[in-house]
Amino acid sequence: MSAAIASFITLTIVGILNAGYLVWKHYSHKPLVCPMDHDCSKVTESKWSRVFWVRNEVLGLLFYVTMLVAGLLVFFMPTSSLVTGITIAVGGGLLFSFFLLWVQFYKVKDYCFYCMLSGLITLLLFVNCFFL
Amino acid sequence: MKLKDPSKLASFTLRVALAVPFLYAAIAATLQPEAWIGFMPQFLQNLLPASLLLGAHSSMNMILALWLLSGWKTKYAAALSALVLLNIIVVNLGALDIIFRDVGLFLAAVSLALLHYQK
Repeated sequence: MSAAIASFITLTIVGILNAGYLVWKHYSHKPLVCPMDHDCSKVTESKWSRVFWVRNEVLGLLFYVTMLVAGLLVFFMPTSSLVTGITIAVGGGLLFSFFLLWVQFYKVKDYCFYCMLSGLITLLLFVNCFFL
Repeated sequence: MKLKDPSKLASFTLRVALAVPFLYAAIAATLQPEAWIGFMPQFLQNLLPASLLLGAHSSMNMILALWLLSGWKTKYAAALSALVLLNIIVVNLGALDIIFRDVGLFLAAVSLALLHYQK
């Protein structure tokens, strides 16, 4: 079980770094450096970049920080209801990632490397939940 | 999809591939030190307390992971990662069934250092 918690926490930290990078670049007005020679800002600065007036990368950062705290709570105070709660929350995050993937390909008609990476991290977190 | 400069994506992938195991090792060794202390060489355990050794090793792994992900002076981060991994392989050769994947990680670190050698 502790190996699963370690991998869960590792994934949340990678998620925090990924979302944190997007937040930092946006608020410091610096251009995104995407590893696939691609202009990620077409997606990150599109009209779909906010949900309920909050930027998606800020929501993502809050999500990963919350999951990091939840992962630590599972390690120190393991309860089945907490694990269930985490699984439901990560499932919700995964659905939101699918929604953003749909937005990228069918609404913006472009993609953002870091947004897709975030979706992959959430998918791995969701699978990881079943081993907690 | 044709990339203008595939080395950028290769570098990013290698940096993540190296950083994630370092990050995992740091976290797992902090959460469950008793499962990791056996990998510390005995002569070091005779010199210093095991918990101190493991704490220092976890901190170093964490710093190395963050350095790799930052993309700052990657060739030095990759070279240091290669040295750390080579050290793990040499010290734990008796446990090759467990650490054999570190040989692949070591070569990935060497590849990343070579990729950034002239940058």
